Amino acid sequence: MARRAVKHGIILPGVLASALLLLVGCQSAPRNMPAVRSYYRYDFASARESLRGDAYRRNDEQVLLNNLRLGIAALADGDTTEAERALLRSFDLLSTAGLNADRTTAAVFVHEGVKIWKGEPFEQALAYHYIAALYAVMGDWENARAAAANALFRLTDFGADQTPEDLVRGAAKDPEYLKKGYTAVDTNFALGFLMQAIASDLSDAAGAERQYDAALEINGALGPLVDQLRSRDYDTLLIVDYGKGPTKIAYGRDNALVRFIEQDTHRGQLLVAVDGEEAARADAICDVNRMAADHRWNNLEDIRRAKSVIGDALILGGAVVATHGDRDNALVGAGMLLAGLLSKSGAKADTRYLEFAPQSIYLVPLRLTDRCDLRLSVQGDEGSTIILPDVYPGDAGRPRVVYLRMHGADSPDPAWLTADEPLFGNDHTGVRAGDWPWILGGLDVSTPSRKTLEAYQANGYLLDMTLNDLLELYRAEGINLGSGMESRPGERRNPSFRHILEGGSGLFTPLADSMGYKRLMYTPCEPYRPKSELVRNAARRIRVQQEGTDQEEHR
Amino acid sequence: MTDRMAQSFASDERIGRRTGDDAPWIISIHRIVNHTNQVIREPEKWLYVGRLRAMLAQSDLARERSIIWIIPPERWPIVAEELGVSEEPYGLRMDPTHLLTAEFHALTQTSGRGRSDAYVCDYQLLDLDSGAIIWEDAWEVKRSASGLTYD
Repeated sequence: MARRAVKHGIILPGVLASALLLLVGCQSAPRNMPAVRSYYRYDFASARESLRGDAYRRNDEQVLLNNLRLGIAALADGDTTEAERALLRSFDLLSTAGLNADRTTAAVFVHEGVKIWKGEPFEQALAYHYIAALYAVMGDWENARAAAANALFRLTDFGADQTPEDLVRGAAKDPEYLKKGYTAVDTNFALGFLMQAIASDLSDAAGAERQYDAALEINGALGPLVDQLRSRDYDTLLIVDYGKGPTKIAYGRDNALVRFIEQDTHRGQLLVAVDGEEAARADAICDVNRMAADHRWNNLEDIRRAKSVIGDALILGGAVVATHGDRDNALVGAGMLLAGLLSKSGAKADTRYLEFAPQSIYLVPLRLTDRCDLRLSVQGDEGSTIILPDVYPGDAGRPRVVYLRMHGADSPDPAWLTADEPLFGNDHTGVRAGDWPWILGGLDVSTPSRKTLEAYQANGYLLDMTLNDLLELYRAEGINLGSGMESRPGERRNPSFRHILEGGSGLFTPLADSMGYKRLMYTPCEPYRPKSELVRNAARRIRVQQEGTDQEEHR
Repeated sequence: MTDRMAQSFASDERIGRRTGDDAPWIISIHRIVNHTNQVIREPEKWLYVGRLRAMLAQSDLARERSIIWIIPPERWPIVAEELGVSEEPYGLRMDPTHLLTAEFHALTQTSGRGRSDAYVCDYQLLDLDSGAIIWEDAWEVKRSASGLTYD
């Protein structure tokens, strides 16, 4: 061992240089806590605001995760345009890197000169799932199938019951262990097979039966669900995320290793009631806590890096894994120097992860036939209850897909989750009887169009206005029609992604029955305060008109 | 590719014997069907169709064989936006006599040095009167993606 120490001493400058080079690109960026906090408060609009700048503008090693985070938040918020933009960027980056020769997935890749972290394999599979879910929600089953198919890469299996410590020891003893010590095995991602099967079936692509069989092979308990899906006995499909997925922490000497720790542990069936009658009790199809704890779903990048930076000898001696252990004196100099270097550089293992991953994912096919009210809750967690009034179904060949994000017990349960009357008219509900635009004192936030103007006029308002006049009112207020439509140079774009009901400058209707739709349309807010004289006057005229009507009715 | 497509078209007996004086065939190019594992956004599919239509419309094939290439008019706004054009092409709202379908299939190859997707695009021309396939052919389209992976 003394000789090895001497050897280490000789090569130390080289090792140090390599270590420094490795450290440059490996420090974990600080977590975007405002985004995470907002997301788990159901404030998806704020979460997206916190993420948008980084996701859109930066091409750094975080680009994939930031776009994934943004895309998932936008999907929950019912903004399919931004979700598609961000998730497709993620898809392009993930698929650009491709797969290894044995169809397992790589951990890191270089794109346009930037070393990009791809996330753990389970996070990559979830990424593809969310892209598939997005296209399913949009009714684009071809792209849903294409995305889902990518989630079915093979996994690296180092053997049963392997702990991270076992793997570290294996890696320290054999330099080729992490490259060759595994068997590439078929995935056990039943959710991925189900999504691909559903999408294949509905897009008339081949393979649906085989994919259903593969899901059943992984989990025989899926039989009744698969039967219902195979027979297309549903017109509506719920994709429901519940709870907070596991967090990633660094541990061991110099925090050089990582593991995932469960945050939410409540496991319950998803209960779905239709018009007050129980319609489904669904078990989770995907348990993200279990995936994260399974070494086959982890890329072991922390061990590779620790090996590179600290060296096999130090790992084998227990410097990384054990907090106590006999160390060869001859190694102390080089080892401590390197370990010190790690500490000084804040170079603990990379703890970035997909914070928006849920604990559980449910798939619930329903046959609704007609419009109805849905009530969803996770058994044993009343705070998770969501009520969706007046849900319209699709049909057997083109089922409607609704994606919902339900948080666990440590998130608030705002009143809008269970509200059953929309407060605002919108593009989905249409202009309601007696209503007029919110910016003029009414309760309608529909996008101005000839149709909406005619509806206002049928209600007795804006009788002297043309569509151009109506549009001019919104222009005068600096309101952008559509989500994220601000394009003037020098103007901030973020506020145009936020709805005017929440103080932004965007007028749009999120996807019906999305969490964003529910939050916006079922949350009371202060009356609109016009900024322009034009709108103030128009609002005043309506008030005068109403007062006149009131007086007449009084007489 | 449109050159090869024109050649293939012309070599078909039924198409080859057509002249510029024949009653026109109104061929509507149907949307691309994506059987690959790559996501292709709906506007991208129509952009592909729009470009294909524009190139075929300008080719000798259109004039010499009396063929008018159109796309479903309800999709024209997407194509117009993607191509940045405003004027509707001639014949857009004519009733089609034929339908050209296109299907993308992938022969995906992956390796540690990135991913390369070889696509095959299958075309079929259907006579809408008889329902018969009167021409079909396929071409390979390459799309390579850079990106060096580290396991």
